[in-house]
Amino acid sequence: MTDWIPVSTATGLRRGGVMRSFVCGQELAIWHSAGGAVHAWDNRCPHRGMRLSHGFVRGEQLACLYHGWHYGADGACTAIPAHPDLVPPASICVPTSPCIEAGGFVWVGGDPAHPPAEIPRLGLRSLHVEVPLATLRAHLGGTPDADGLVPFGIAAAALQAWDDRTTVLHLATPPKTSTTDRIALSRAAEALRREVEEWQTA
Amino acid sequence: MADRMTDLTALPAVTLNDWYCVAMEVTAPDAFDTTLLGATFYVTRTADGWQATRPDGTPCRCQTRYDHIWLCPGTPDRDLFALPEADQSGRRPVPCGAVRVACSPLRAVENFLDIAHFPFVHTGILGSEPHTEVYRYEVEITEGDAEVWATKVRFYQPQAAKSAAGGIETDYMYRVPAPMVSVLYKTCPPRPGEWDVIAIFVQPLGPELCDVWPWMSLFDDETPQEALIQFQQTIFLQDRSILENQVPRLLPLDPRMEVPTRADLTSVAYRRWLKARGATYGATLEAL
Repeated sequence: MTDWIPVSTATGLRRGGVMRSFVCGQELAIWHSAGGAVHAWDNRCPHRGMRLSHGFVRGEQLACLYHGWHYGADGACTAIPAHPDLVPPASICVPTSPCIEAGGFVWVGGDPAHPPAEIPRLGLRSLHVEVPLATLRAHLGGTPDADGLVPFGIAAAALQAWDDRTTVLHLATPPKTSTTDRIALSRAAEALRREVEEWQTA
Repeated sequence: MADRMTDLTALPAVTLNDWYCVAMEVTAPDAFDTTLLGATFYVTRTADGWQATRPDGTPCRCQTRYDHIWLCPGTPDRDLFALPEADQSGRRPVPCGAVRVACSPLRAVENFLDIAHFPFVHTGILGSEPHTEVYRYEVEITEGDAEVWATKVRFYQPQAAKSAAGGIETDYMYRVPAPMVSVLYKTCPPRPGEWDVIAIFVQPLGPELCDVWPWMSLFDDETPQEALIQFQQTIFLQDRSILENQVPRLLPLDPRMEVPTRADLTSVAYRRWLKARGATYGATLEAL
């Protein structure tokens, strides 16, 4: 079993993009550097508490939207624009979590020495489903593989516990799946969402 | 949102006995409810001027000043702050209406005191890269812990005001005369030697929700009123995108919670001043 938690499809987080996510209620800023590295950080600039998910990527650094403080790959502050000549103290640092792109998904929180399997997949879509993870997993059925993925037709389904009420269903297909099949899978995922949310309400 | 049962007497006297802006005079209806500190007050226009009552029906003090209606939920222990420039001839008052922001009223004031965000939040208007440096400036707390003042503040601005044609280095002074009011004085492009005055009057609806009433007093006879208000609205809506995304929403007064630099001298003084006077409505003293 794996400790890696999926937070996006690989295609859902574009190069240079930043997004806000939650893992079991903990808020994260997930970003993709210009060079292709993915990062998962606490979503809060240590300076004035601004959400870093509103920030902007410059090369291999993430900058806070509020005052443009720059942070490098290790989360340490590298530049404070209000004081261009100042070398920021090492104590100014954003807490980081392990983050990796593998098998068509972006994952956080696991052991970097044991990354998820590298199986070529193409991201399809991510759906927020208003049920706890265990409920959605039960409805999906199937046997999870070593990375926790379960089959959804010909697609792979990865589940993210957003908080204790919401689960994100991330889907990726084999790379050469036809557009017709991908649309059908997308519709099937929406139907599943309706069904499980109605079941939950009933 | 408003709770008629809010126990006003549980609030600290320094909060209860202060003055708060609750409406703009020209747009206020003859009678209206308004939320202040989580309670609903009732304000009406009478032959003798504006009158206000508390949720329990008892009267409280009310006055009009600086084109707005001000209310004291308790018993005022001092006059409304003085703003002598408001009466100076040649100036044009520009009340701008309100912008509702889901943040602590104190976060709204602190953001108003901040210049380092100009290049990133008000890009191309109040600041632009690479002109990001905040030069050394001075901060003082006036006698008797009365007010926070920041002086000798200087910043490069691409378009400092509606009346500014191009980029200029702008001089600023900042002033906090009450916990939920801030006034800035800035270089007035058409009239060297004078200062344009821009203020925000913050109405605390609750500890994490406020209406910000911007007000300006300018030497500008040419720009249409709508254009001046539009300019100010643009700026404040940009600020709102920041203010509604600061965590926590309450202003942290524990110095370990957020890391300031020299550019934040005004903010540091403001936080200390709030803490010293016990003006902690909208603040948090605990670490996250």
